[in-house]
Amino acid sequence: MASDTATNPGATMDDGFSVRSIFSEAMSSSSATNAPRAPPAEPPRRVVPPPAKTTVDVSRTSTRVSRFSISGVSRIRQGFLSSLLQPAFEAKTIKEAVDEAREAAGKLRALGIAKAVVVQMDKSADKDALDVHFHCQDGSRYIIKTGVDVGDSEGMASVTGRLNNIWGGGESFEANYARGSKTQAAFQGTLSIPVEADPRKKIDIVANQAVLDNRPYSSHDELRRTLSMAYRAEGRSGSHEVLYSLSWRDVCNLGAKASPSLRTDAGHTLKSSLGYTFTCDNRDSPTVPSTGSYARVAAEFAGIGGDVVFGKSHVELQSNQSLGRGYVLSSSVHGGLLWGPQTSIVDRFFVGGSTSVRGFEYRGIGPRDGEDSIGGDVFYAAGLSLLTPLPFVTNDALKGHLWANAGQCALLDRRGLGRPGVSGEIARFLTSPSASVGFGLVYRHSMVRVELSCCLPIVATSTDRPKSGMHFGLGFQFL
Amino acid sequence: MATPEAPLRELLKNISFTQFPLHTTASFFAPSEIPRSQLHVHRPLRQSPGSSPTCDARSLHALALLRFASFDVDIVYGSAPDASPDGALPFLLMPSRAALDAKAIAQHVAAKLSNEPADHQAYLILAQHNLLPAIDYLFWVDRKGSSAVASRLLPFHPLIQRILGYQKARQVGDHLRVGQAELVGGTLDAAVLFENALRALDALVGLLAENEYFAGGQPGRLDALVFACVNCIVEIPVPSPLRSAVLREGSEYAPLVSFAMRILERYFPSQGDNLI
Amino acid sequence: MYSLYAWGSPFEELGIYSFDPACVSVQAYMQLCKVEWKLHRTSNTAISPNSCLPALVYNNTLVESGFWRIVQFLRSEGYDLNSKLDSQQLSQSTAYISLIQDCLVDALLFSWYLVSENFADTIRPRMAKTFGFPLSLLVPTQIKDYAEERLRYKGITSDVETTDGKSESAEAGPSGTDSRLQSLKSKIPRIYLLAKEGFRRHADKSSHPVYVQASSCLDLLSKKLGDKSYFFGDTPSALDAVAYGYLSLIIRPDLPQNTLKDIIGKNYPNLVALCDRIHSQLEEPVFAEDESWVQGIVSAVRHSVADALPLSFLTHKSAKDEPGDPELGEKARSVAGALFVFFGYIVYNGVFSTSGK
Repeated sequence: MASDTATNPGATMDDGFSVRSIFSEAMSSSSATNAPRAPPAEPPRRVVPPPAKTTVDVSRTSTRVSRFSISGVSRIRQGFLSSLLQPAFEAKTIKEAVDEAREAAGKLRALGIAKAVVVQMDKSADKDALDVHFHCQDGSRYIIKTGVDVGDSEGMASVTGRLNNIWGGGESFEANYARGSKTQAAFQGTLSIPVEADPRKKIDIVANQAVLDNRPYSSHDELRRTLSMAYRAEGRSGSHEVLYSLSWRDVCNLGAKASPSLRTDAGHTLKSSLGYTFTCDNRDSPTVPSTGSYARVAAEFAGIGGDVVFGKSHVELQSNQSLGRGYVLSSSVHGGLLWGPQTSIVDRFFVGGSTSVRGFEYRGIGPRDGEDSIGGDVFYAAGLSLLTPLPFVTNDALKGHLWANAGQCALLDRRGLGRPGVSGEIARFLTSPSASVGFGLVYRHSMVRVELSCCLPIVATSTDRPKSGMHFGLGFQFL
Repeated sequence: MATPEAPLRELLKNISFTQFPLHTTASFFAPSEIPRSQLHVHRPLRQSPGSSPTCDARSLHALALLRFASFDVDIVYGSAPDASPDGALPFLLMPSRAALDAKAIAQHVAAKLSNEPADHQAYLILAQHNLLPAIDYLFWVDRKGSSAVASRLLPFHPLIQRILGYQKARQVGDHLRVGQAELVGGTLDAAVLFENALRALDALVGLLAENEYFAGGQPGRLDALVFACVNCIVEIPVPSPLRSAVLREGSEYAPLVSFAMRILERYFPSQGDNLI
Repeated sequence: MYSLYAWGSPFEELGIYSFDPACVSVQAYMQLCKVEWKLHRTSNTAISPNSCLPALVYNNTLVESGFWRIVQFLRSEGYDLNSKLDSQQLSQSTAYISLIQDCLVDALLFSWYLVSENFADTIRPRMAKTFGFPLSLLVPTQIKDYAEERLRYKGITSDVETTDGKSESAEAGPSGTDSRLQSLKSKIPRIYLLAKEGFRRHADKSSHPVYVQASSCLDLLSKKLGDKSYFFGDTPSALDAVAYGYLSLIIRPDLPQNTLKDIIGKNYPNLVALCDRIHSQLEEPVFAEDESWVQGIVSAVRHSVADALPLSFLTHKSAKDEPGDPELGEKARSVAGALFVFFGYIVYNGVFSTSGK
């Protein structure tokens, strides 16, 4: 039984299993009653009509799975198998049994335990029961890969090693080392444990260390060490994530030029926080979508232990509408609020850059003390884009791009919107964003979106850093 | 792909970018003002009249230099050492928003202090390389010492304090080991550090003789450094051969101890004022 | 008869008997005091409980190790070069010795180990000849690492990076793009900086901060010496011995990049005269037998093991060790090593086989 190669690991697919034996049995058993009787001795010669076609309704025929065996997998756990096959053992009809067996095979493949599974179902010795057998081709035990990734306005080179199916239940451990233009060095180790043998639900334990070089924009280096535990589940409406993280952040290497506002934020902090994120994505492409919408809502509360206390929420919404003949109208809104007695630069929001409000430098919008962008406690950013087909270009991936972006970012304390002696700041914050318009080209690649834009900043505050002219943007998620 | 770009290029030639942005609004942020110079130092061991305003020798040295040169500064506690330009307190934050680290503070006040005889340069180096290492050993590497002052020198969460304390102890241990006079310095021996410190104190007692200050009528750079070191040796609540030799009844270092007390009374009168 | 265990010397033909300035100072002190002593050239630091040389041994027991402890011991034995000084001069002596040992040594270490030309062309090959195989592979690099670490703590890094004028420009000129310029500069590949360094190899290096600091130290010393024969009058004192120890290592050898020697020769002739004056009073020391190659291998193993261990194990001295017989351990180990090799050879070649298959 050959099995096809899968392109979409999540979907269950036809493994090509053999039900011939069942059907033949059913046929033979049901046709036994209608089988033509042997003609009596020397009857008068007449044509015997062929037996009538019998149909077997597999959704009604009651049966059960009595035995299960699996071969070809080097390591698999008993407890994992029982939770994997529990729906199959509960099946009452043939259709249910076949469906659940297929689903179990798909899960084995999605978890990386087996590369390909052939499901074989035979009539069992027990009455009205089936024996299910999985012929598996063992999944790869380890993978080592090197690659070049693209983050937001940053290119990174990384080395990843991955161990699959460590304890027989689809657990995997991945270690990753990356180095990029903005991230000096980042190590990450992730242990991923599926829950209830379901590849859509898992528990991740992550240990991470990264050194971020923020010196060109904010005059400091940040050393971040994080230990976190997350529960991720993909449901029908979207994916949910509950995360607890313990993070040790160090703002260091300030140098002689840093501003006093940055010096008050320098040093070591320990953040212990609990967060929840909900993501719903039904766009057709994550980089340059033409239909669908995307919503992401995140909330985080820090203060359970540690010495940082805050409540943070972050919302991203995007909707795309295809107007026909290659025109796409895309609009997106981002917003966030950080609420705490004394916020630190490592927690705040930054606006501006080629993946955020275009037409401004990276971290170019928002509170700025001297040369340093120190981030804001509240921000919003909105973007409206029209993607147009280009006249002589047949490739759908390259499109023209007309856009307008606006955003604003401010602190909430006595230095920002809460300044004594100035009234109406909140209203002014909401009604006068820093805005820019522009036009350019967009290229869609499955991994990355490349933009070349001519940016024309329209409105900016006196401390913003607008950047007009032709600019290049490379990233994954754009405004 | 030349054809789609050509009209774009022509368009761009006609636009001049200096007129952008078209409209500028007021900023939403006003940085906090710094009315007077602020010296950021470590916290003192105890807040009581008659004890020094900080526990750390280098911070006290900088503060003494500023007081001798009659610079009026506010003392600020609680900053992290990373806030300083060179990564260690003290640092001075000026109203012009520039920050000066310890070396820069010394240069800043050099003009205002009295001229000292050339010999004192050698004594400064003697004190820097023989007294400060012993104090660093007592503060960071010695277990009792570091636990007594850890909360003052590392104002962070207790878990981080402990990890950083171990890291710093290793770092300071290496630093002290390579700073010894013998090449390929071998192991770090606390007894040798203390002997060097006592020898340096001997030399300084010989220099001070009966004078009020090392430099004559007015205190100078050497006075500031020796005052800071002697004060720290006396104040740190850790028993060591250094401390017992200095504080012993009728020890030969008594002139230095009274010299330090004199400066403390005269230039650091009470702790109530100027503190933020 | 005292035995002084000291490091060997790459410049023995010039009359300098150690590369370690502390060892040369002790040797000069002992000769000026007319102590009876002989010199053991060794690289085995295990003799002293502090693992540092020079170490003074009397009657096969270790007496003291380390410069100041040896000097104090000799003083207590009656060999005191400072006996004619009054209390003010004594305190000056301590201060100026510290000036030389803690400040001037930086320039000496820089010029020997951090100037890559000097180290690669002169110092390392000569040291390799002194130590012999296998230590020649380990010890010069170890000392270079030590020198780099020591200078790094003082903010002095190797010549390639600092000739670009590093952070002294951080205080001057508050231009907005300066921090970006600095971070750009740090991204320039090292190969370009090395090439630039090569083009400027014959330029005058004396503006480097380490040489500026050395000039101010030498200035002080020269002023202190003035026109006198020795620092404190007509007879040599401990300060003269130390000055000789450090200055002779700068003045006498000839290095490819002689910046420090030129500075002293041009500006401070009285220091050069002092050095020569003391050198003329010293004679060649009595040498003890050199260590055998077995001991050399043992020392090499010990050096590489000590290197590999994390430093925290070595940084703490818990209790004072009893000074034992320094040579007995060596002898025992070399005998054990020889016996092992002997029996190993026999067993390997089947002359002697253990019963049982």
